Amino acid sequence: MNRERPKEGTAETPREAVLGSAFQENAAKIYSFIYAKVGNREAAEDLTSQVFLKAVRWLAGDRSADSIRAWLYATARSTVIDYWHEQSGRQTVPLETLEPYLFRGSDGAEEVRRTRAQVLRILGALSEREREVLRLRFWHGYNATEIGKALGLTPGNVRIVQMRALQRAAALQAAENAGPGWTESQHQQKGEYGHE
Amino acid sequence: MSDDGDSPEMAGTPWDAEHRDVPPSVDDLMRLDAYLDSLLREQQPDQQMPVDEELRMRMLAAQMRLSREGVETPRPEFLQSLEAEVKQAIGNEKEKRRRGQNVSRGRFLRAAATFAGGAGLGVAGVEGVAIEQEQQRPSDLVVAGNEHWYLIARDGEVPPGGAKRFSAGGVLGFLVNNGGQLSAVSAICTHMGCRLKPRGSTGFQCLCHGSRFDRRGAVIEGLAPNALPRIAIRHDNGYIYALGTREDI
Repeated sequence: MNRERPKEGTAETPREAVLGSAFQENAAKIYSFIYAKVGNREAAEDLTSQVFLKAVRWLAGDRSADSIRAWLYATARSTVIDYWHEQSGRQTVPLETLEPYLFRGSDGAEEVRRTRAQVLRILGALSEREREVLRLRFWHGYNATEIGKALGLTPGNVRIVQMRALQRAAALQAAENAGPGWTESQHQQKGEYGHE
Repeated sequence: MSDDGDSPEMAGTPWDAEHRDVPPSVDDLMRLDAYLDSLLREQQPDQQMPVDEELRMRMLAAQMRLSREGVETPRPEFLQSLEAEVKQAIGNEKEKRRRGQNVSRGRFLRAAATFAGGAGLGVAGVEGVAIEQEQQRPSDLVVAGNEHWYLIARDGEVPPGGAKRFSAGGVLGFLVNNGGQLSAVSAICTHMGCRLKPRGSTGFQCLCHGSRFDRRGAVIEGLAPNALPRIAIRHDNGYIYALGTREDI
């Protein structure tokens, strides 16, 4: 991981220089960080743009260049929380209940790896059929009808399996997130889901 | 319904103890399925969901996209266009600052100074106003026309490091004591207008989106674009007064 801080800019154009190097260094990582929590490119591109355009205004306030990396992750995090708040229909879900489901720990740069490890761990704990349906869905991008054909199920059956799988997985994630710290996975990331 | 012939028990696995044994409705099934479809098409889902559990499932499903390596890599053309957009925004911001400094900000400062002078009172931070040019530095909250001084605290009531919430008609604020120096800042977040709460003795935090401000109102963290406006206070005969609006809601 690149731990370098954005450098102080030249005297003439410090803001451009600071933001320019911060952009080069962080844009792809911030995008991945956001993608890991929204799961689609359209939203990830939209939210990433929001974060960097806010950074322009933020830097206009003579902030220290040292803090921009932390600021970018903090802003990405709150932008993602706002996104889910919006998705939830806003009224029903208080913001503070969203955060623990989305983030664990404070190191933004680590978050993608940590999320992937957790997802693989949780998939590994599901039944074989649940895992197979989710694998075909998420890895191959098949829809319910296509998965039904492949597994000899009706599309309705597939939808039931995928819903139960996600219910169970969400419960597992909630339990894990409520527990102490992340236990680094026994499931190494190999193969499609690390358990073939 | 027709393709849901099998009972849920045959299709799924035994219920987890923590799950209520309520079979999902076809609506629930189709809604979740449509959501997964939109994720896999890399599109933002367009419908909202009603239930908390479904929200948790959706958040997890979004994270499950990571089970496939590489999905989280941005398109190079996206990064290029964003970089161009950011450069453009820096240019706009510079232009805005130049104009803002010369015209509107100047007019605003004169208005603020005139008002403060006219009132003949010790307005917090007046001496600082003239040198302030950055949007991010604190500005003074100006009440236009229907101002009213409210008694908000007794002398010595707020110890150094302390803060007291007050309302002065339509103005909500915190009276803070920084090393013996009293000042007052707005208690409304500059991001979306939510109320702030004190955060220990370090400053204030927005109840909606978590933006944080220090005790002088400067933004420490979060989405807030500006520092908290300062509220004029005066000290008179053992009491502290804040300038608010005559009318209340």
